[in-house]
This record gives sequence, C-alpha cells and structure tokens, in this order.
Amino acid sequence: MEEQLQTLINDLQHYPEESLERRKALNRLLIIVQQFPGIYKSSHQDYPEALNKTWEWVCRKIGEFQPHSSSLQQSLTQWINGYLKWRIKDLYASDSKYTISLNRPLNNNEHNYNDRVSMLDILADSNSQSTTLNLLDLKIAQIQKSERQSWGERIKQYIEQDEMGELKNCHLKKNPECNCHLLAIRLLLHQPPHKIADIARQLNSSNQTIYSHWKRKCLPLLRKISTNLEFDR
Amino acid sequence: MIDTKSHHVNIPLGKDAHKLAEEFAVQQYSSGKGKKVYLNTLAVYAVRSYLTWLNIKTTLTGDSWHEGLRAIFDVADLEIVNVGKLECRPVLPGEKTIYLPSEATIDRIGYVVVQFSQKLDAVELLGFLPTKVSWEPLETIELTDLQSLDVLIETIQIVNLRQWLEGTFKQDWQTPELLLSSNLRSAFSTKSLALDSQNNSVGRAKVVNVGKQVILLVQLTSNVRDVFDIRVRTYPGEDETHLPADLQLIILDEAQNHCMQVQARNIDNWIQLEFSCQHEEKFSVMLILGNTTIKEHFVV
Repeated sequence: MEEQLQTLINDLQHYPEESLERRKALNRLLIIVQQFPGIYKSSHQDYPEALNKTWEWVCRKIGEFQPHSSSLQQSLTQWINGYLKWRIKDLYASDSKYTISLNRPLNNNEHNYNDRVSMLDILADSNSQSTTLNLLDLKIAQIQKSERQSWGERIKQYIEQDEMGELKNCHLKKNPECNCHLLAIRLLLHQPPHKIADIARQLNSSNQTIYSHWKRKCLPLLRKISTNLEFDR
Repeated sequence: MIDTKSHHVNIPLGKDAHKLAEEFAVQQYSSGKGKKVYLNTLAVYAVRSYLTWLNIKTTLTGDSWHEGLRAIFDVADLEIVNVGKLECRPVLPGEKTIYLPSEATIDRIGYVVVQFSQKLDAVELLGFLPTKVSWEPLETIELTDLQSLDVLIETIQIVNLRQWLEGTFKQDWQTPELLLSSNLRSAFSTKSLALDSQNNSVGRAKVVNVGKQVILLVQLTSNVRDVFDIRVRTYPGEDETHLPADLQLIILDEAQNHCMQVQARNIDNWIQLEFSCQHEEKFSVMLILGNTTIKEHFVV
C-alpha cells in the first residue's frame, strides 16, 4: 500500500497538468484515499459539500504534498484533514451568523486547532434531515402539490390533446396509426415506457421502422414543441 | 494494497446539488417523473463534479438543464467543452440493467453510470461505456459491460482522426489557415495544408504551449483501404519566424515507445514527421522544450 501510494504520488508530481497520465493517476489516487479510515467525518448537513470541495483541492494540490511522517497514508490523511477541517469550520462559521447559540466557542483553546474542531462537532445538527431514496417520492409530491400548473403538466397536456394535430400528422406513410402522438404517449408519458418491440408488434411494423421514425421524425418534433412552449410563458 | 478495480470513486452531494434537483423535480407532472428528474439532475451534478476535480471543463447547457426538454425527455446529458455530450445514467440499489431511452442516446460520446444508495448524500461512479457505431440501437446497459473511468478519460482526451475525415473536429483543432496565416505571414504557402477532398486528405492545427507557444499541425490522408498517411508538423507561434531551438517532436506508439524523433535547429521554420497508421491504431505526439513536455493522443 505504501509503495503503491509512493509511486502514484511521485508520478503525479511529474506528469504535466491536464495530461492523460495525470488524470488517470488522479482517478486511482481518489479511489485509494477515499478508503482511508482516518478521513474526517461530520454529521453537519453541509459536510458533503465540504468533502466535495476537499477532493477537488486534493486533485489540484497533490503536487505540493510533502509527507511529514514515515507513513505515507498517515501523512496524506493529515494533509487532507487539514483542509477538510477548515472547510467544516467555515460551515459552522456561516451557521453562527444565523444561530446565536452556536456563535460562542465552547473552549478558549484557540491554538489547539484539533480540539476546537472536535468541540464544534458536538454541536453538529444531528436532527438535520437528509433526503433518502425512500422519502424522495413523498418529498417531491408534497412540493408539487403546492406548485401551480407545472411545466411538466403543461407539456403533458399539450402532447395528450395535440389540438393542432401536428403529432398525429407525423406518421409513417403507409401506417397512419404509427404516429408521433401515439409513440410519445407510449414512450414518454407512460411509466414505465412501453417497449418499442411491443409497439411494433401491435402496429404490424418492424422495430427498426418504428425506431427510426421515432428518432428521426418524432424526437426532433417534440424537441421543437417543448422549446417553443417556453416562449409562450 | 487497495485494489482500484473493485472500488469506485465516491462523489459527495451537497445541499447545492439537492436544491437544484428539487427545483427541477417539482416542475414535473407526476411524482414518478419528478423522481427521475431529481436523480438525473444529481447524476449530472456528480459527473460534473468528478470532471471538475480532474480539471475537465463542462457546461450545463444540455437537454437535462432545459426546463421544457427535461419535462418530456428522460435525459441526463452533460456537455464536455470541445469534446461532446456524456449521458450520466442513475442506477438504483439492486438494479443490474439500465434502461436507455432513445432520447438519451442522441449524439452521446458515451454513458457514465452513477450508483445511488439509500442515502443521497453521495454517489459512486460505477464505470463508463463508450458509444459504438452499430445498426442496433442501444436500449439497455448491463452493469457487467461497463469499463473503467480510465476509458472515459481516454475518450475525452484522445483525438479521433477518423472523425476528421467525416468533418467532425473537437478539442480545439482548427483549420491550419486560421492559425498559420497570422504567424507565418506570406513566408509560407498554406495551400498544401488545406482540406483536399479529392485526395481524401484533411489537416487541422492547434496552439500548444511548451513554455513557448508553437503550432501543432496534423494532416491525415486516406490512401488504401484502412491505411492512413499521417504528417505531424510543428510551426512557430506568436508571430515568431523560427521554432524555439532544441524543440523536440517525438512520435510514440500505443505502448508509449518512442518511434520517431526530430529536433529543431536554430533557424528551422518547421519540423515534421511522417508515418502510416492502420484503422484503430493509436499514437501520441510529444513535444519537449527544456523541462516542459506536452503530449497529444490520437486514434485513427
């Protein structure tokens, strides 16, 4: 592991900026360092943003990294945490603008930076509700209800009603049933979308015919419609 | 020892990403469609993050960022500046196959698969599938078919010379006249460098900084079936008349072995190397001046 890291960091310090080799090496470095158990964690709701900025910083600054102990993994962890902790500290600093109770330092140990951060960590907003996959439907449905007629609703209605007949008129020469109106409803509005093979069987047509009509004629037409709708707002 | 093949890059997703995803999702006609848009937005955001880490520029100008288009299409496209469009497809826990609607396959250079888990504060980039030219439309992606992100990085960085013959130019490659005329004034005729459709030959140039600016010209001529003659030439940039002395031009094969080499003397106006390649052969052009090395990668 140490050897693997050593080679990688050496390489990274020599490869030119924006080179293929450097980017591939950065990809490997990220995968390795993200597994380090010592990378600082926080339950603050803005921690992911801070961590994201930290990885960007690591990629940009790895050329300047100097190990301070015999263990490369340890040095690298400390180096990354050094930056990450500052980013987290920034988060608490911006919180404190709004929440007076968080404003006061819990100890006066101004010089011991590590201690200060661990005290701040105690203040982490443990009740912050991060969104989970299961709650996503509920969350979106709740907000959607409160919105007035949405974008999606307008376009959906436009397609379903097709008042001008422009979608129905966009059909295969020999098969008027195979038109953009039917395909848009089956392939875009229906959830889950129908399979092209099933539609082809129903319409007595081939997959390839339906597919190319859909891709060459219908998608550009629908693109035009939904881009133009925007101007009517 | 960490096996970099069995682990994936992790992309933390902050409040900023979720705010955008929520804003886009609530515009949709159903919660199902809203959820798709939410996940598509996060997927695009994650891939954009990753490319930013690698200092690869992207713009949020695609269909997924257009309120009308994302309302009807199931798209998660991301434009890489000077390269092309990537599709960033979300995959949910337990899914092994990803459905790929037609609208998400148009003009894409490939597909990055973004693994979501129950907690939405981070995602993993599972891998990449480059677009293949084929008659059969791609309707699904099997996770087992995915290649590593190294292939994504190569796809972004390698200049595809075959596309030049079809008239598609990316990665800042411009017509030679545009770059050369101002630099070389009337000293050289650029006629011979222009696109010669009858000979099936095409040339493009790019400004390259090797400590000093020089112009790299690559010319491709297709002769016999699947064999291509390639000429690589370097001209002085910045209105200079001579190349910087000791500038080295080197051709490397796919395994990065040095194959050919030429070095500028004090008064050279240009230096060049010529060779032949077969279809799908890869090569790299390396320019060295003092301590600076620049490499450009090509596939025929």
